[in-house]
Amino acid sequence: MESRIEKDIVEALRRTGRAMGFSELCLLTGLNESSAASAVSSLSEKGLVSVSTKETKFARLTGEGEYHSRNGLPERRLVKLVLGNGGLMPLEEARKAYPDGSFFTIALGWLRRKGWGSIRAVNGVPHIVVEKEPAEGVDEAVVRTLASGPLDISLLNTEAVKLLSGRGIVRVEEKVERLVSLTEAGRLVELKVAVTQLTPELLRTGEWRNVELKPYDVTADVEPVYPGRLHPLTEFIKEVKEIFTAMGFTEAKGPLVESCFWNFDVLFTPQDHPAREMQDTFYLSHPSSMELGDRQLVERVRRTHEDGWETGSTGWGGEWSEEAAKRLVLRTHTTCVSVRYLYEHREPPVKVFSVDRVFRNERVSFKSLAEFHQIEGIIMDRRVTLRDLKGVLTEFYKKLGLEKVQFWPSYFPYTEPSMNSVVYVPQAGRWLELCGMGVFRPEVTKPLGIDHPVLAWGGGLERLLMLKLGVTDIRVLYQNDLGWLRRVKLCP
Amino acid sequence: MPVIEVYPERLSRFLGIDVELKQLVEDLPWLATDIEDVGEGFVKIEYNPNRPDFSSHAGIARAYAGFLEIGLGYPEAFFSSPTISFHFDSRLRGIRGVLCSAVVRNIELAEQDLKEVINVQEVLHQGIGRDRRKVSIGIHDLDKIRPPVYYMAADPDAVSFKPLGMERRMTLDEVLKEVDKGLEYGHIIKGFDKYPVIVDSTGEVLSFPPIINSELTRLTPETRNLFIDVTALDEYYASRALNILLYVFKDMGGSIEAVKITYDDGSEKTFPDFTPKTMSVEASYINSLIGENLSNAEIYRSFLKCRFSVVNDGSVFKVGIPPYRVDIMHNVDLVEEVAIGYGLWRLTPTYPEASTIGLMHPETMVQDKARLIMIGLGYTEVFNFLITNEDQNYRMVRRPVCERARLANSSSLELTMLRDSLLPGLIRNLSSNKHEKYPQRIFETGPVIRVSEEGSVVSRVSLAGVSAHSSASFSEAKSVVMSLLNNLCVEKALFEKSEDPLFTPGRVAKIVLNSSLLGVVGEVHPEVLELNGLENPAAGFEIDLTHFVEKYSKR
Repeated sequence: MESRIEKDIVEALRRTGRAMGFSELCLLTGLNESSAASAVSSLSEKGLVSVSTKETKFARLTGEGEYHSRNGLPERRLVKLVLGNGGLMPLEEARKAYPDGSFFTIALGWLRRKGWGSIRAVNGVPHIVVEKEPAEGVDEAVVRTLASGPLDISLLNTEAVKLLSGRGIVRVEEKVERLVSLTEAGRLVELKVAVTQLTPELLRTGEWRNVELKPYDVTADVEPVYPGRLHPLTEFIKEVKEIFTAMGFTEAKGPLVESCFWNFDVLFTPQDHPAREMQDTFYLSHPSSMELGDRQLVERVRRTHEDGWETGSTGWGGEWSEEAAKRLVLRTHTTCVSVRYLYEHREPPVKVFSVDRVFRNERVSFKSLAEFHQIEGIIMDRRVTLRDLKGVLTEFYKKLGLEKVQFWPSYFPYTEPSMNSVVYVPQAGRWLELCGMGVFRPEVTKPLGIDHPVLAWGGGLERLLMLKLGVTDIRVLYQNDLGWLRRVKLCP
Repeated sequence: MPVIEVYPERLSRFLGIDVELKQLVEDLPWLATDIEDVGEGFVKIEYNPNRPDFSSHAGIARAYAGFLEIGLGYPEAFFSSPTISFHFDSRLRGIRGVLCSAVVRNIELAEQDLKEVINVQEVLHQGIGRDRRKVSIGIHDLDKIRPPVYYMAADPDAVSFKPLGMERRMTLDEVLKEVDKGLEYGHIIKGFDKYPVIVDSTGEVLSFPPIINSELTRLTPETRNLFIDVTALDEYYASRALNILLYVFKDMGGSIEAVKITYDDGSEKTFPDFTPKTMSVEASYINSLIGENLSNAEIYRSFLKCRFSVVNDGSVFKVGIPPYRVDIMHNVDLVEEVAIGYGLWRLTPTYPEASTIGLMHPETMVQDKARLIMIGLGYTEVFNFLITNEDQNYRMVRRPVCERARLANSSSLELTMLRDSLLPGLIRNLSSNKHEKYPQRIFETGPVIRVSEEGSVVSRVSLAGVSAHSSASFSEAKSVVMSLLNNLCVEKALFEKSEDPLFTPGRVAKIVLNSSLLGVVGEVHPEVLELNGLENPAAGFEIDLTHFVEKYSKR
């Protein structure tokens, strides 16, 4: 199969029935030289045409030659001058009258050499003598012929060309011309056009039947393309949220800017707890505080902190400050979201989760950020136990592809008993401390009006994602390097 | 969280039996500690701040002996009657109004012991002492002191002494101004017109609590008898801190002697207070939280393993809490002790019975839907921080600084406020990706925080996108917005001429839905591009998704 161009060339060669140079081929087919050349080389590779070279010599007029072709050779002009003067003219007079002084000596030389005239002394003064108008010389005929363009020297008088080129009137140039001729195969082949791009026109006209679709080098490299895609954090958050909903949990959302009351006090974190200090928590300067609303709840929380209220606890002692509780912070965990939800949904069973942003006033480094995500799950029911917590977490991790889990005792201010879990991450080949968990203390649940045990667990999201992605610097996740975002793989 | 390096030989001294490192690494996590590191001949553990008694080998050995069942039940400690009295000056109420004290006799403190005692003291200062504010402790060489001792309020420039590690005598004021510890802790007592000092009968200063001790009573390897003062704001924590320290000295071989505190009104109090606090808990409560059916015998033994005294009357357990424990506030804390004593590893997982239906939050549903449309339109998602600064959020996008949620205490100039728009972040993302192939189309969805006229925080869910390439234009951005709105089932959004300094004048429109403002779309102002070093035009939009969230909330 051949391209349209190849087909045109073969057809042109068939019509003329002889070898052709490229210029002639281009003239006949209307192609430009470079596309004709590439088509010929492709045809030649297929053995349909052969290409031979022919050396030709061209004669062309020089600049001076062009001048003479318009005005006649210098000697011819001298002859005309002398004849016009009656065939006899004093040499010095002729020199003065000659129209182009620079050629006079040349003209005089050739006049004598060609025998068109002579110099004779008359009364002791040199005179030019011309007997008659000489016929056009062979050299003059050559100059006249070349005036219409360069010519193959084989068509011209060799002697004259040599003479003229010696005089600087004609220049001889060599040119190698490639001749294209059909081979035997080329004369006989049945031509079918090959096309690269299937076009609407080919389809519309049905012409696609008469063409061949050119095969590609299917192993060749191609330009990369990048899909519009989700951020790996979103993808992972989505995965975690889907696991939660599959396990029957409802997603809760809560304020990012939270009062200390909900962030700390409701969670029975004493007001002088180190976590509440400025170096750990972001406080707001504007606005700096909010009203707490539900007075009864505030009073119950106050009493619980001060003396345990009706919770059975000793409380923290000291005086609880409502002013301190009103202060606004960027929430340091999502547990405040969970307890707000519980406060509004006090009827068991409640299974709620969040995967959301939290903030810590920490120095940003390769392993910690001031802003990150926390995974959190809560179950409240008439009878839920520490063993259930182990069961739920085991199931949750299994759905994340983490089969090996261990639980150790631990401590958190608002859960009792407390545990933490360590999971084996196969992608990273190591154990990772993932979630803290426990049963909410009665000091937390009672003031909220919740009379049933509440299981709670939570942990950072980024560290797990880092292990899955093989990222060792947590900041990479928030750098938004488009190159990374376009190429990073999040495999299951 | 505090850490301690545990050496098996040293632990063996307090346990009375040999233990190996390997065994410690396996066992210590069951006492609620984390293995941080295993070194040459030691294991470094991290323990929780509720267990300051884990700050010494002696304290760990006490708990570990229970775990190994070689030391069960309440560790008794005895003390002899007071021979020294310590007078409390009532003017100190309101300044640092709590005083506890004790004496330890006949103790030999090897270099290791001394180091460890100082560590315990530091941990107590940090943790329950709240960085010395609430509780601070002084330990003195008793033989350098002429009792009785006085805790008194002194004028800042009336008393002088040679502070620990200093060459010359200094007044209290000078200590606060010139000595490292004074500079570090001075804030605790500054503002009072009198400062607390402890002096002996000769008037020599032993201590300037909570700042520094006197050089006079420095502990040396030759010290055999100790005088301990605890000054505090809260008596419960002061007396517990004293107990934790005394139990360490007891385990190191010292004999404890009580100190009598006398008050201006003639009343007296004696420390230490080793009377165990008691609490009662029912077996059914324990079993209901753990999810096991432990027998009374199992519960009984678990308490003993956690070093509690226990008496049971049927299924009611009355337990005595060791005086060095500060973390037992409620009988739920006893449940955890039983769980630890019984062994958490013995609890097999169960799955809760509750049958519930899972559901995503409407906000998530809307965001996910919008994300899907945006990636379909060829946009790549970015994820920026909520915390930003005025330069990024306003100046770099030509927007005027306005009412915003500001942080009070950021340690970084980069983190001063919460973003009120997503577009500045996206422009910044373009700026840091100039080397990447164009066209670049990025989007983000997430919360933006504004402050209302009444001064309260308003949180909205926003969605923004920008497209940057050689022919990015208003019409491209508008096409994207229309496609987005169409796919979010918005029919009647209007585009009206508008102004926003981030965009080029005349090439920016506000998007209005039912006469409320939904968002903005336009060509990014060339000056914004220039400020951010961008050489390709960009067009973008930002819309408020909260409108749609409300629609989904009806489900």
